[in-house]
Formats: sequence, structure tokens, C-alpha cells
Amino acid sequence: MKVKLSVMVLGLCISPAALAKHKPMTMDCSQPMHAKMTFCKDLAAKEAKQKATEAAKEAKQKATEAAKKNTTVDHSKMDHSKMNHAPAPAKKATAAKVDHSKMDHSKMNHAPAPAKKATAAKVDHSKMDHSKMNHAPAPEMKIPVSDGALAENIPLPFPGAMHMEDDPTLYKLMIDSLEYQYTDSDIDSLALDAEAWVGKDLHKFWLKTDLESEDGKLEEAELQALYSRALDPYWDLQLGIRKDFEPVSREWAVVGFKGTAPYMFDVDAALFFGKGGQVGARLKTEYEMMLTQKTALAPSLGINMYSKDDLEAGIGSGLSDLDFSLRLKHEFKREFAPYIGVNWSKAFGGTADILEEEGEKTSDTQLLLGVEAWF
Amino acid sequence: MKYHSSDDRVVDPTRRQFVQGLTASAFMAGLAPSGLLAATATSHQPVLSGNTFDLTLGETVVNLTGKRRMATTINDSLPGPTLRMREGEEITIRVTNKMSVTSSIHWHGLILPANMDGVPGLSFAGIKPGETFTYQFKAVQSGTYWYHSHSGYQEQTGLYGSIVIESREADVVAYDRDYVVLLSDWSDEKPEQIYAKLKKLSHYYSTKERTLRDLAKEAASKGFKKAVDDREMWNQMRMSDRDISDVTGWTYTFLTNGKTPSEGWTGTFKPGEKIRLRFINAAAMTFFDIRIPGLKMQVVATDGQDIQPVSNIDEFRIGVAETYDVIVEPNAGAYTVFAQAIDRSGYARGTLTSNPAQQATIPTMDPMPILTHTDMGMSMGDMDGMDHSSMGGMNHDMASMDHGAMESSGGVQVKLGPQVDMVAMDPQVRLDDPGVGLRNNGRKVLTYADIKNRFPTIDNRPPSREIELHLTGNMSRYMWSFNGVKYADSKPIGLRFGERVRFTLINDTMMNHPVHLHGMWSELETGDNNFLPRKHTIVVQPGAKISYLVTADAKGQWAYHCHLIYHMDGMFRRVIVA
Repeated sequence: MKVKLSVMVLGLCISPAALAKHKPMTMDCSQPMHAKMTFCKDLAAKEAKQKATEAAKEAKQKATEAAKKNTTVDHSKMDHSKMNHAPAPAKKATAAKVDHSKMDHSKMNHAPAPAKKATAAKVDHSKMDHSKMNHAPAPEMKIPVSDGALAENIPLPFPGAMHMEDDPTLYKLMIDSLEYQYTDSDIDSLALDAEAWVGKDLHKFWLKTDLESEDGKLEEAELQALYSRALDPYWDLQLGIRKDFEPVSREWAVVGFKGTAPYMFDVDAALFFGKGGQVGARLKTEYEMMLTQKTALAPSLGINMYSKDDLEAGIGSGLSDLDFSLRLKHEFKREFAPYIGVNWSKAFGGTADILEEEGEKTSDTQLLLGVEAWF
Repeated sequence: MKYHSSDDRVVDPTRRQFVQGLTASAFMAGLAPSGLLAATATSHQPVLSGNTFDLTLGETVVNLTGKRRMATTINDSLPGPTLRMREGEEITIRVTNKMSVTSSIHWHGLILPANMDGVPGLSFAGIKPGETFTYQFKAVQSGTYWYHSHSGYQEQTGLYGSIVIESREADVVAYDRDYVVLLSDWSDEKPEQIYAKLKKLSHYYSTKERTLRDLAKEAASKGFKKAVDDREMWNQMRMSDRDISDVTGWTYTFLTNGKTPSEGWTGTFKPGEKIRLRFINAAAMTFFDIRIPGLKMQVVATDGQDIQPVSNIDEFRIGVAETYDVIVEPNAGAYTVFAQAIDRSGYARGTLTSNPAQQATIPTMDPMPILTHTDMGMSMGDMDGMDHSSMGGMNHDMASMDHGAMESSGGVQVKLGPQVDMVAMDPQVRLDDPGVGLRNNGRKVLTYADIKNRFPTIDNRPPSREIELHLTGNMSRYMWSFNGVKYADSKPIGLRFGERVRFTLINDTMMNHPVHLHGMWSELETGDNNFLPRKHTIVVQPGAKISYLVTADAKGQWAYHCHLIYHMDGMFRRVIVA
């Protein structure tokens, strides 16, 4: 890499001689048939850039030859440290044309490499009608090598949709788990963890709910309504509100991240901001290990933390509770997978203290029988 | 010139009327009481010949899998009739739309005026329900082509057919008989449903995901640590090395001339005959690997254009929308024309037989291909063995690439973001690579490096500029684009009339993309500039780079896109030649 860089630097310094061999490019954009002036200019700029690229290549070759002959160049007066040599052959050619000894290289911005510079360097301006030129740089001219795109959009010549919309509004309803939870005590519970979204590729509206009932009585109930925006290929930022209905009514603002972590862990991590400065944090993650094409073993982990005690809600500050479960699923179809599983949960700190005071267990193991489904 | 058409009748293509071929594929809608496509063993394909054609687009109930489904059909046929015409003639095709939605027919690979190209919005306004659009153009070329709807997902549901244009001069390839072998993929699911499923769960149709058993097997063969280490990159990137096809045999039934694998298409011959097989991949999403066990193939044309014959070929891969013509000279007996889907989730098949009662055994499919680092655009020396010493650095690169834009080796900026999950680090030109699943399989497999034009390159000018496009996407979000910009957000590509341009395509995704430029030839740079093969559809292998030259000799607005139907809405550009 170092060798390559130094060759490029040599190229910058030696190339004027090499460039002199290149004839100026003649543009024939003055003809009336070239109705779309910007289009024409666009092309002209790009062709100039192409020429410049060739020139740069040639210069580079010359430089290499020169380097082989031990030609010495005085680099000591140049600040090469701030130059970005990686992109844009066109830019190299531009730089190659100028006298480097008089330039303060430290202030050069090499990154975007406007094609106009290349144009200026190479095009024979005497043959162009400058009065009609739009000198405002077209945005895509910043792209160092052509993707061929026109500066302006040109309307479709005919009505009529060409294709289906690539990004239709879709919805998905997910029952992540609907399960009976059997314990060794007499109290069995029924729990639902469900989500739904409606929207497009990058913007969605999400609903999430967690319900848990014991002996037919709703013990826990919460609902989240979130705006979800794709942040990167694998992660969505989710902002919105959460309302707890049971065991006590609470309102929260939600900031969450949902996505897939390396090693294919599904992650849903959120911060909840409640009244009086209460902050909650929740992490839910699941991994699906395929045993066969239809059967999967899925470990999952859930953690809740709070910044303050909330006795009414049965919450103590710090790490509140943790649950770890293992589910063995069988996909009868992609959308429908019954499972059996086991869940181990434990309360910690203040939360555990509250449970103990109420005479409840702080740790529990449950057998799960449920179904996962989506539509 | 006389030749045998596929229904074994002698047809004179110069006759000035069209001949209704035997519609014996039993599309008896309106006649048969059930209105079903019956499973028949006939090899008859509807064929229309001449210079004037009438096509009616309609909706017909078919039953290809045991379930009744509504298909879109042409003259009540799926595939539509084969159109046989003659080079040099003025062609008139009246297309009447009897469906309830707007439609269109695009003549794939035909060089014709832009307003006859059949792309709604670009060429014309489409054909509205009840309307007839008359296409008129001169057949300026000869060879094997095809046609299909360019509206919505109608191609997936059956609106496609083949075109054979007889050469005005004597054909440079001698043959006694020719058959069109049109491959396609049929689903009982509605295309909109398939697309929605892919968006909700991109690996929905994957039938061969990695399991614990695979890890156990790998651990047994190379040790647990190495097995785990080898998974590192894939796990870091949250990708599967088995992501070969988005839509698979889970939902698709693969058809040969409209026949399911259980029915099978049959072509007969007399021993000693030279048979020209005109393979057309009219599938919506499926690449096929084709071989005829017991027969060597001589490949004589691709995308309708004659090439320098490539002999002794055992197998070739046909990308979606490509065509290949091969010559076979079978001895008496029966041979299976075996077209396995690239992901080995199913196959299409036919039989060539000298005795209609005789069938050949059907080979078993090859193992499912597994993507390698080469397919990920990482040059790691050999294709299958991998050097993991540089792995850490690579993962770092991958992890750190999610900033605004990333510059590839070529200098084009790919707009990064949620829509792009990968940029090939070191894409290579891999013309001589037969592709994933065909490497070192013991058979002689055709590659792009073998393909040279039969005739010298016409336009010898060097390209005046290069247009570089990255084929980009996010598999898990199921989003597709060029340079990270989908069609809806893109500006047209401008070409100046008469200029010669190099297109360089870099595939930043894990799957093969067949890229089709309408209206002009794509002259694939396969090594000999004096004999550049002219193609209409170029397959870009995953992680690979490929280039071709285009002379912008056709004014107007043209479509340029990936021909996989569920990619094309995003992976699409408008090309304006002015």
C-alpha cells in the first residue's frame, strides 16, 4: 500500500509532461439538435473526466517508470499528510495539471472531486458557449466516477405505471409466544407476547403487547405504540409510548433498538422513561438454532432494570428480574410453530425484597406449552 | 427454406399468413367443461408462423399442481404460442388485452423502435383492458428470443412465449430439426403474496437452511474449532451461505414448455439427426443448470446471436431471460433434458427420444451449492479452500462500513444505509468461473469465457466512457437497488446517440443477477475484442465484476434492469439515448 501511494504521489508531481501529450477534448454541444443542454454538459463533463482518468493512468505509468529510474522528486515542501489519494482518478488528473509548489495542500478537499475541475482542466473552452452553461454544480457531479445518471430527471414519456410498487405498504402480525406456563404450585398462568407492524421498508408503525394472567385474572398488561425507522441494514430505531394497565397504571416514553446482532441474535433493547425520573431498561434476545429444517431450539433471555423503587408496581431499583427460557419449536409451516419449553426466572434486589414481603417466590421454574405464529 | 417445427410438421416460414399451431396443450377454456389445463403427454406446442400475429391476453384457470389457479395466458395458452418469423420481414403483432388490468408485451432481445418495445411508461401507455395495441417493426435479426409482459407480475403468472426468427440467409448452423425448450417457474401463490412473504421473512422459501447437523458434520471433518471459525464471517455478517435463490421449489413447480416435471415434455427425433435445442429461461426468479446425460452439447448461439461453436459441453447455466441454442446428435434412444434449479430445490425436465414410448431415467439432483468467499466478493485465492488468516481484518471492514457512502475499488460511491447490507471488498472478473454449484463437478461446464461472437465486432471504437453500477441490496429487508439507490429515487442514465460506452457491473450481493438492457446489444467483454458476443441479458455472479460495451444506436427511452421479477422494481434504471 505504501508503495502504491508513493507511486501516486510521484504521478502527481511528474504528470504535467505526460498530460501535455493529451489533446484538448472538443465538445460539440453548440448544435441545435442538442436540445437538452444540461444533459449535454453532463456528458461533456463525464467524458472529460474519462479523459482525465486516462491521463492520470498514463501519468501514473510514467511515474512508475520514473521511479524505476530513481528520479528524485522533492516532496519535502508538500504536505501530503492531508491528501486523500484513494478515490477519484479524475481528481488526480486535476491535481496533476497544477503547479504544486505554489499550493497549500493542507486546505485541499480531495474527497468529492468535482467533475467540473476535470472539465476545466481538459475541455477546450473556446468552442463552448459558456453563456448557456449552468455553473451551479450538479449534485451527482460529486461522484468521482460516472454512474451515468443525468443531472436532471426527465419525465416519463407516457402515462401508465411500469411496475408494481417496490415498497408496498404491508403489515405483519406476530404472536411471538402464546403459552401456558405450568409451575409446581397450583397457580398456572397464560401469557401472550405479541407484536404487529404496518408500514414500508424503512418506516413502520409498531404495536407490542405483553399480557399475563393467573387463574383468569390479568396480572400484567402493557401496550407499546412505536414509530420504527430503519437505521442500518440490521437495526431499527423505535420511538414511542408504553402504557402499563396491570398491575398498576404507568405511562412511559420509549427509546428502543430492534434488530439482528451478529451471530443472528434477535435483539429488542429499550429504555423507558417514566414519571418522576424513573428509568427502566429492558433487553430481550432470542437465538434460533435449527436442528432440522423444521425444528429449532430457541434459547431466549430477558432482563429488566429500573433506576428507582416503585413499590406500588412491585419494582425495586437496580437489576429487577431476569428470565431465561428454552423452547423447542416445530414449524409445521413458516407461520405456525407450536413448542414446548422451560422458563427459569429470578427477581433481584429491591424487587425480590418486595416479592418476599408479599410471601411470593423470587425464583421460579415453569414448563411452557405454546405456539408461535405470524400472518 | 423448409424446417421442422416443434410439432413435427413441415412449415414454410415465408408463408404470408399465420398458422394456428395445435393448441393441444389442452387449454380448452370454454370448450372443456372443467376449463382446466389437463395433464397431457403431448409434445405439441402452439406455434404461429408468418409476419402477422394476433395475440389475446386473458385469464385462464389452470391446474399444474393439483390445485386450480387463475393464470394469465396468451391465446389461452401457457406458455403463449411460439412466434416464428423471418428476418427482414415487416412484422405486425396485434395484442388484445382481455384481462381486467393493464398489460403489455415486451419483445425480449429484439432490436426495434423504442415505441414498439412494450414497456409501459417508457415505450407506450400500456394496453388497457379491452384494447388492442398493434406492434409493428422489422425483424432485423435472426435467432431465438422470447416475449413477456412488462406489467406487474404478469410474467410470473404465465404471460410469456418464445420467438424464433429464421435467418434470411442460410443458417450458419446446420440442423435437421429444432425444438424450443422454454423453462419457467410456476407458483400456486399469487406473486404479490410471494413478494410480501419475502419482505416479512426473507428466507421464507429456503428449504435447506443450516442446521446443527451441518455444524456437527463440519466439526467431525475439520475439527470443532475450525468449523466454528469458518462460520465467523457469515455470523458476523448475519448472512447465510445457503442463500442461493430467494424463491425456491418450495413454492415453484418448474416447467418445460409448460409441462410439469411429472408430465415431462417430449421431443422426438430420428437417429442421426442434428437437433437444435433453443433453450429459453422465461422463469421469474429461477436459474437453471442444464444437461442431457449421455449427450455432448455444442453451444452455437446465446441470446439469439451466433457464437463460435463450443463443443463437448456437458452442462451450462442459464440465467433468467437468457437463451442458449445447442446442437445435439443423439443416437437412437431416450435422453433426459435435465434442468435443475440453481439451488437444487427442484427441476424441470424433458425427454428427447427416438421412440415416443421410451423415456430415460431422470438423474438425481446435485447437492445444494454453498456460497464461498469468492461469491462474497472476497478474493481468497482458491475458490473452495479458504484462508482465514485475514478474517479478523475483514470483519472489521464489514463492521465499519456503515457510514454514509462507501467507495469501491472502481471509485463509484455506493449510497450506504439500511438498503445495502454488503459491498464486495474485492470483486473479480470471473468469466471462466462456471459459478457456485458448478465448480469442479467433473463435467465440462460452459462459462462466459468460452463465448465469442461468430462474426467480427462491428463497432471497434474504444468506449468513450465507463458507467459503473453496483448491484446492491439488503437480503433480510428484501430491498434491491443499483449503487444503493432504488429506481424510484434514481435519475435516468443518459447516453448520447451514437456513443460507445462501457458498462461495468459489480455485484455486491450474494445472488446472481441477470441484467437486461432493452433496445441495444450488450457486447460482453469475454476476452477477444474482435469477436465480442452480443447479448441482451448478462449474468453477474455474486461478488463478481463484469463489463460490456454498448453502442447507443437506438434513440429513445429504454429499460435497464435486473430480470429477477422481485428485484426489478428496485434494481432498475431508465436509459435515455438522445
